[in-house]
Formats: sequence, C-alpha cells, structure tokens
Amino acid sequence: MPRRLLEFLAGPELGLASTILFAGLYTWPFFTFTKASSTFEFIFVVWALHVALLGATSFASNKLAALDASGELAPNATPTK
Amino acid sequence: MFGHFELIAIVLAYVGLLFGIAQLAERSAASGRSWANNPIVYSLGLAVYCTTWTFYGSVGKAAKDGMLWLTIYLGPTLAMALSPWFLRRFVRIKANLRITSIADFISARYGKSQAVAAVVTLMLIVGIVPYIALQLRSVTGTFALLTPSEQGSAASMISPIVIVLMFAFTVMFGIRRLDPTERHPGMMVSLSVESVVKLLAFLASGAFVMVSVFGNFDNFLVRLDEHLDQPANYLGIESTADVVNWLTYLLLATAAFMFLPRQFHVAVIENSDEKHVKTAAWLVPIYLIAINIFVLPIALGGLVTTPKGAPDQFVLALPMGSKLHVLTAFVFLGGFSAAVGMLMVETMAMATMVSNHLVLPLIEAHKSLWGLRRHLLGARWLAAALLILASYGFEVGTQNSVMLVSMGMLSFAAVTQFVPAMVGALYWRKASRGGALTGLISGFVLWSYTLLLPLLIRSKWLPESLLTLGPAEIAWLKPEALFGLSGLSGLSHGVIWSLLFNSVGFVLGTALFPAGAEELRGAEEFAGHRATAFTTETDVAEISLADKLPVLEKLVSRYHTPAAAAGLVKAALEEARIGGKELITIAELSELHQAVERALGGAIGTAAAHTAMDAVRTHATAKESEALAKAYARILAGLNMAPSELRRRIDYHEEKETLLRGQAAELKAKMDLLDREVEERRKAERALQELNEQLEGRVADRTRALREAQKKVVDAAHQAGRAEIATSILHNVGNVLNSVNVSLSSVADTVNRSRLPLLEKTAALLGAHLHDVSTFLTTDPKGKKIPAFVVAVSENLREERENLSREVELLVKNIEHIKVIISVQQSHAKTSRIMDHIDIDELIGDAVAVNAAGLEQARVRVVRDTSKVPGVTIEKHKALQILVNLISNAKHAMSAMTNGERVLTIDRTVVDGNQIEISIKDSGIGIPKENLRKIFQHGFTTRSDGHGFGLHGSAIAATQMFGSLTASSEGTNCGSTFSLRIPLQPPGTRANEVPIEDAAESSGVVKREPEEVSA
Repeated sequence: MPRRLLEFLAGPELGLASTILFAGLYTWPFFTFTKASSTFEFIFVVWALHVALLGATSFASNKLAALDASGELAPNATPTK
Repeated sequence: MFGHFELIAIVLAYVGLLFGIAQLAERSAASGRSWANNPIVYSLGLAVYCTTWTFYGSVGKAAKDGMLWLTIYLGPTLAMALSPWFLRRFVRIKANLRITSIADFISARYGKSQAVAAVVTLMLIVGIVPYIALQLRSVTGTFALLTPSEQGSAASMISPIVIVLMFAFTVMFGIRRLDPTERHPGMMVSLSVESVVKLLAFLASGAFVMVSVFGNFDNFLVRLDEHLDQPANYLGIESTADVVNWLTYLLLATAAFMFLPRQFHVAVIENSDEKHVKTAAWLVPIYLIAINIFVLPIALGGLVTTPKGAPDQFVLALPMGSKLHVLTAFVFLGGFSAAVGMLMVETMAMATMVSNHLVLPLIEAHKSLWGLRRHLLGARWLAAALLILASYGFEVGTQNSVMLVSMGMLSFAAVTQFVPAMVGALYWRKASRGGALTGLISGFVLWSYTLLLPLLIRSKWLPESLLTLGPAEIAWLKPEALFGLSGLSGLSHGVIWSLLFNSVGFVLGTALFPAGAEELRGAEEFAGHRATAFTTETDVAEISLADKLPVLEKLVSRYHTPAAAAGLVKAALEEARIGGKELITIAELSELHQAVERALGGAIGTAAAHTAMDAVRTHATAKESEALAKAYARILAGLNMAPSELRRRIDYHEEKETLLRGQAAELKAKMDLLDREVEERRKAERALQELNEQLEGRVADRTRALREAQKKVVDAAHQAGRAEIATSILHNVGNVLNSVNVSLSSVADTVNRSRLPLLEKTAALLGAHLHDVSTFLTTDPKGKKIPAFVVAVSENLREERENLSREVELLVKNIEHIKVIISVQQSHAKTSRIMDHIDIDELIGDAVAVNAAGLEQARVRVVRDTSKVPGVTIEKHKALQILVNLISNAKHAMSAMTNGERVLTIDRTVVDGNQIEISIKDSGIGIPKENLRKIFQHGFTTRSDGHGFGLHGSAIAATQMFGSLTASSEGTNCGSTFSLRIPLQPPGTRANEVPIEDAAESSGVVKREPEEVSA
C-alpha cells in the first residue's frame, strides 16, 4: 500500500473530517427516510462503514509505525542522521 | 421466579468467579505477563461505558423516544474517530505526567492547580452520585423483578446486600492498595469478562426475542414499519428542535465517552500502551453495534407482547415470561455485570479524586492533620463508602420521582462542561488557570440552573412556579427558557447555555487572568514538547546525587512508608536513567524531580505532588539555577519547528530567561556578597595565620629562651645544691674544727697550767741537795714539803695526762670525722650524673653523718627505721643532696624551738611496689599553711641566713629522678614532714649505665618545672 495512502488514513485530519462527516450521516436519515426500517438499516450500515474506516485508520497507523521501526523512510523525507 | 437466597447465591458465585479471575490476572501482571496488557482486554474494559442504563435503559429509551437511544453509542464511535486528537494524546500525556484522574489531568495543564482539581471533583460528585444511584436502582429493581414480592423481609435486605457487595468489589479490585501507576490489571480483566458476559446476555435475550417474536430479521423490519403509529416514534424527528436534540445527544455521548470519570480512568489511566487505543478505535464501536443491534427488536417485541409492561425491564421480562430460567439468570447476570463494572470503576475513580483533591489539600492545609497523609488508602476507602452510601441515600430519597431516569443525560451534560477546558488544554497554549476556573464554574452554575433545577422542581422538591414563571417571576430567568430561548428540549437548552457560558467564561477568564509560567510549562508538556526538553548532552555532571536522594525520600515518605518511599525514589532514578550515578547534570536532576513528582502524583495527584515538590525545587543552588538556565537556552536552540512557532517559543523562553536572569542576577548579587564576605574572611584568616605564625615564632623564641633560662636556673640550682652540700659539709667541718679548737685550747690550757715547772723547780732543789737529800727532806722546811708536793704533782700530772689523752682522742676522732665528711663529699662528687644501685639506708646514713655535728650540737635525737627495704637505682649525688638539705632544714626547724624534745624521724616505705618514699619528719616549728605552697619556689626562705635555693633545687632534683618531693605540716609548732618519693628503678634505665638526662629524654618523660612540684 502506498505510504501516502497510509499517512492519509492514519492522519488526524481524516479522523476530524470523518467525525464531522459521519455525525452528519447519522443525522441525515431523519431528513430523508420516512420508514423506520430504512432509518434503522441506514444508521447501522453507516455505523459499520464508520467502524471499517476506523479499522483502516488503525491498520494504516500500525503499518506506518512498523515501517518507521524498520527504517523505511517516507518518499519525501529528508534523512537526518 | 427465583428465591432471594438463590439469586444472592448466583450473584455471590459470579462475584467469586470474577474475583478469582482478577486474582489470576494480578498474578500474571506480577509475573510480567500481564493479561491486562492486551488491546482486546483494554477495548472490552472501555465497554464499561455500557451500564445498566444501556442494558435495561436503552430498550426503555427506544420504546419511548425511538432511535434517539442510538446517539448514546454513536457518540463513542465519533470519539474513537477523534482519538488521534484526544484519547491518544491523553494517554501520551498521562504516561509522561502520571495522571491519576480527569481532575488531575485538567489541573496538571492549568498550573497544577489544586483549585481546578477541586472544582472538577465537586462538579463530578454532584453529577455522578445520582448516576451511581441509577445503577443501584437498576440492580435492586431487577432483584425485585426476579424474586417473589411476598418475601418482604428478605427483599428489604437486597439493597443493603447490594451496597455491601458493590463496596467490597470496589475495594477488592480498585482500591486495595495505593499504586503509583493507578493501574489495576485484575480489575481490567474482570471488567473485560463482565463486558463479555453482558454482551452475550444481551445478545441471547435479543436473539430469543427476535426468534420468538419476529421469527427473522425481515419480519422484524416489517413489524417495525407497521408500528410507526405506535406511541413510540421510531424516527423521533418532528422538528428542528428534535434535530438539535439529536445533535446534543451525539455531542454529550461523545464527550461522556471520554470524560466520564470511569471512561477516563479505563481509557487513559489504565492504558498501558498507546497502540491499544488504535485497536479500541474499531473494536469498541463493533462492541457497541453488537450490544445495540437487538435493542430495537427487544423494545418492539416488548411493546408487541406486553404493551403494558415496563420497557426498562423488557430485556429480562421477556425471557422470564417464557419461563427460561437459565436465560433469565444469564440476562440478570449480564445486567448485574453492567452495574458492577460501572460502580466499581466510577466509585474508584471518584474516591481517588476525592482523596487527592479534596481530602489531601485539606490535610496539607492543617498541620495538625499531617499525620493522616500516610492514610490515603483509608481515605479512599472512606470516600468510596461515602459515595456509595450517598448514592444509595439518593436512590432511596428519590423513589418514584422522575429524577433518576433523567439523571443519566444530566451526568453526561455535567462532564461535557469539561470540553472547553480539555480542548483548550491541548490546543490553546495561552489558556490559563483563571480561564479554566471561570469557564468550569460558569458552566457548572448554568448546568445546575438550567438542567438540575428543573429536575428538582419536577421532583416536587421546589415550587413549580420557578419553572413556569421564573425566579421572582422574571420570565427571562426561567430555567428552561433562559434569556427567552425556548422551543428546544430542556437538555438542549441547558447544554447550549451551559457550554456557551462555559466557553465565554473560559476565554474571558484567560484574557483577564493570563497564563503564568507554570501554566505555560503545562502547555508545553501537553503539547508534547517536553520529550525533547532535556536532551542536552553538554551539561557537566557536578551535582551530587547522594545529596539529593535523602531530601526526595523524606518528601515521598510523608505519603508512603519509608520502604515504599525508597522504592519509589529508586524507580524514579531508573526512570530518569541515573541509577548508579554519583554525579548528575542539571538536566538529569530536573528529570529526577519530574520522575519523583510523577511517581508521587500517581498516589496523590499531580497538583498535590507539584505543590510538595516545589519545596524541593526551591532548594536548588545558584549554580543549579544557572545550569538550568543554560539548559533552557540549549533546548531553545534544539527546537525544530516552523519559524512562527519558533518565534513564539523564543518569546516564551526569552520571557522565561529574563525571569531566570533576574533571578540569576539576584542570586549573583547574593553570591557576590557572599564572595566578598568569603574573601574578607579569607583575608582575616590569612592575617590571623600570619599573626599565629609570628606568635608561634615568638613563643618558640620565648620557649627557647625560657628553656635556656630554665637550664641556667637548673644549673644554678644544681650549683646551689652543691653549694648547699658544700656549705653543709663546711659547716659540719667547721663544727668539728670548733671541737678541735676547743680540744686544742683545752690541751694548751692544760699545758699552760701544767705543774711541770714546779716539778722542775723541785727537781732542781733536790739536785742542789743531792748530798744531803735525806736531811734536806727531813729537816729542811722546804725539804719536808717536797714528798707531799711530789704526790700532789704526780696526781696533777696524771690528771693532765688523762685530760690530754682525752683531748687528743677527741682530736683524733674529730679529725677522723672531718676525714669522713670529706671522703663522702669526694665519693659523691665522683659519682655525679651516674645512677647506681644503692642501699638507701647507707645513703640516709651518709646524709645524717654529714649533718651529725650540727644535729649533735642542736641536741637532736635521730630516730631511724631499720626495717628492710629494697635497693634503689638512683643518681646518688642528687639524692644525697636532697636528704642532706632536708635533714639540715629539719635541724634548723628544731634549733629554733625553745622547748620540747627535738626528734628527727626518718622512715622509708615502699609504695605501689615500684617506688620508695623517704620521709624526714621533725618536731620543729612547723610550716604555716600559707607558706606550704611557696616553700619550693626559687628564692623562698623563712630563715634570715637562708637563700631559698635548697628546697627548690631539691624539688628539681627529685623531678629529674622521676620522683617528687612534697611537704606537709599541720601548722606552726606542729612539726613538718618532707617526703621524697622516687622510683626503685627509673623508667628506661639500667643502673650505672645511663646518664640521667638521656634517660629522661629517652623515656619521653617531661621534666617537671620547679613550680610544678607539689607542696
């Protein structure tokens, strides 16, 4: 997986953006659906997607940490010592 | 239905199982393979968020308010998405600062302020106690549901039993001991087990309802849509106010998941690895999805099957209604697990805060209470007991009121008041303690007014007019329509106003009370810059670690036992990586202080630890302060950041450096003053030393001169002594010569008065009458007288001869006596300065002999002891000198007597087996007491013809012989006694070999000055 994708997924900015996005998504069905079952299904599906994104974020963060630990540098990183 | 004791037995068995698991977990932690150090255990621990309110209340909430209940669990999911911004940073900061609670955390950022911590703790007590009461009510409610109501007496015991169980469980797992890390592996593992149990129980109940009521999931969805017109509005949204309410719930749940005391404790304090948060970020939401998936089916199932039943008890009531005892018991244990977990962690966290931030500051403020500092554990137990009892009291006091059921969200709203301070702590560097306090207090006041007050009014504790008309009928002060804001739910209204006042107060407070140095340092630490703060490598290690450790151990032992204090300081040494070092740098000292403060903070909170450590830090020397300033300067140089950030930091460091320079200048002035004082003292010391040296030189000169003078005096004394002997001898010789003169005069007189000329005339007359001798003798008148004359002359001549013979004999004797005296003098003169082994009686005899004429002339009777005494190795001449002098003095003392017998008594006694004492006792005129002390002084004499050398010289001679000469007298006319004590064998000498001076020097004996001779 490209490192930049990992950095994007693990970055705190995505966490903040996804929080706002999903807070909106969780509220969205009340303006859209008229059937309770649809609301129920929508929320749980979005919730599952949210968890999946959190899983991906966690995976990316761990992967990055492993790469850093192995000494593999980011493409645009400047070696220091 | 279960019997009371049956249910209690099930609970006890379950608690026992949990306790056993916790014990095993504690052992695993002690062995270094902690079960708790696991992301799954950590994630399941975070599920403590799901309380009985989740287990039972969610269904009730869903039955009443539709899908609004979901926000309570969507919020934590949002919180986990924000974990890089919050939770992970909390964990990182906690690891650095040894934070013990959320109050401690906020306080640590805002100048480690006790006031901030105390305010947070008080807010939590008010906000959380009713929440705990809700849990107790749920547990006792389910007990009541499962047991027959007719067993009244046993039922009344349920609540107390539950209280005791909860307290015991909290103490056993949470606050059994003071742990500087505040981690509880046993509790975490038991929490995770409880989380699994409550999840499985809920799933089991949900699956049962799904199958038994709906058959399958699709059928459930159909039934759900069919019930849209039921009292429960499953959409829950009818207006904008409902959307605001939904968002408010989301916000409250997000904040509560992070800031509820139990959540903060499990998520932050119990965290052993930041990576665990990453796992929890997806595992906890999965758990929440799982535990909520059947909430709506159970709520709908309950409404369908038992429309008049209590929705809060549908989870338990549905399986129980189907007579599924095992499932019912399992679900009951699930609810019990949810309650126990929440109570245990919440109570523990609250007890820690109460003891650290309310009790301990109280103790520290009153010296008479300082003895309680070592009883923090007891204080926590007491706080836990009081919290549970208060909750129980609250639960009893609010029976049948609307208060408890609403208290859950009010608790959420209470902890949401921490949001501005917490966000500011992390992301607003200038945020100050004043701002935090202003914001927190403002938010808490508004929370109380807009949320708590309406609840109290609805519980009939306060008049309803307050709610409908406002205080003093001021409409814009109505608690649920403050400043005219209406149309929102009470919760949204309260949250909006409280957060608004809180945030504005925070900003204004910060503007009015800007952050000080300590708060800026807190901001630096929270910003994560501390890790690079002390990486200086150029500091010189010159601070003695051994000097610092006792101070730190003494400080820590105020709160721990001495052994624990030593262990804690040792751990801090290891943490600071300076274990085994003798000298450390200023940076390492600072690290050590930080480590000790963190370790101490683990037990008493960072604020109290910081206050305690201040006392140690103020003991830094000027040199240490200067080194610290340099270290800060290097840190500044070592910072690697954007120019703007660097500029800001430079400003900060410059400000700090200015302060430090000011402090350094003050210290330097003090040091200069001290240096000057030291220099002056050195000069004074040097002058004193020179004077001493001069004095020593003078003393040496004087000593030398004195020694020379003393030597002269001694020589003079010797000479005087010899002169004394010579005088005595000459005197005695003179006396003898007087006798000789007398004898010679007598002889001359006898010769002059001799009848020999008459005899010659008679012979001539007879020669003229030779021819007629017979005629002449018979007829001549002259001739007739001749026979008688011859007879008479013959008689006279015989007498003359006898007289002359006697006188000659006396002359011979006297001449012989003179010869003896001269012989003695000659013999002593020959043996001068050489020691001999002699018979002391011979020496005494010689001394008496020298004085014999004088003694005889003075008619002194000499009495001598004749007992046997050992020989003495002695300088014979000196001893004789002494004895002659003493006998002569005795003779003079007795010569002055006008009456009384003149007796001279000479005794010898062996003393201590190695000394001989010769005492010369006379019956003379005695010595007055005032003269006794002066009698050995040079020149002192009471005799008109004396010169004062004799006794002085004798005393010197005695001292030179390693002996002593003493005098005693009862006073005038009481006689006197002089005692000469000398060793039988002088130390370090052999008879006839060693000169006395050499012997004295080689023996190391100091010659006694004459003045030192005792009288």
